[in-house]
Amino acid sequence: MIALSSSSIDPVALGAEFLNGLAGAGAVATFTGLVRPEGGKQVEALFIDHAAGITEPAIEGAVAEAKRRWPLIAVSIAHRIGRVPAGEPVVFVATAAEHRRAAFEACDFLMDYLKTDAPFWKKQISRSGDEWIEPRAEDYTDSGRWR
Amino acid sequence: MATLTFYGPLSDIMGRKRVVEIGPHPVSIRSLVARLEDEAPELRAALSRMRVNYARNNAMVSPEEMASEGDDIALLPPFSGG
Repeated sequence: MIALSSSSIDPVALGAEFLNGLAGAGAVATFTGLVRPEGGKQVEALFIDHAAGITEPAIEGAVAEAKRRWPLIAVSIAHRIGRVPAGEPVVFVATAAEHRRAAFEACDFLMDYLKTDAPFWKKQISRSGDEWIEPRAEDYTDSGRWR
Repeated sequence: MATLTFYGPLSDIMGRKRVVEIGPHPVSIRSLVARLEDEAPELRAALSRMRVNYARNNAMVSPEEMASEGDDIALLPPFSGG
């Protein structure tokens, strides 16, 4: 499942739903990303832009790539779009496989993809002003592990 | 006419969409954007600072791709998600 949501996502409910539909899995890995308040900048929210007709197919392509690389039983991705208040979940990724290594690595791969190669754009909204933010150097290093 | 759709930081500068004339002769996306830069120097300034990818009717293309009447051309700044 791939879902772009303009309303809150619930990682607990998404995880439970994911577990419910599995057959044959011995391992499930999940990741939840939250909007960091960023202390000094007093971030109030993120605004996440996306391109309808481009973003979802691109993520589907990454999921297909993950399924080619690892023997996955199921994948679920939920990503917020629009305004996301600080502290709220912005992304959820779950992967299932027979064994844990595939589940862990595919989850890691998909998160790295979402950080640097998925068609989203993030604007930090704070009291000191709004700022479009780019991936950190570490994000690019992380993504480079899979090339 | 074709529609240029702007995302991320470009949408703050240009708004979400601009409709542009194609004209009687085929024109590349690069040329269409250059024409708009002449009208909107703030777009030229933004594009000089960032590497942008292009899509034509939701398919990723190079800026040399020719634009046709009715096309939706997306200008996609560097991605950042998660």
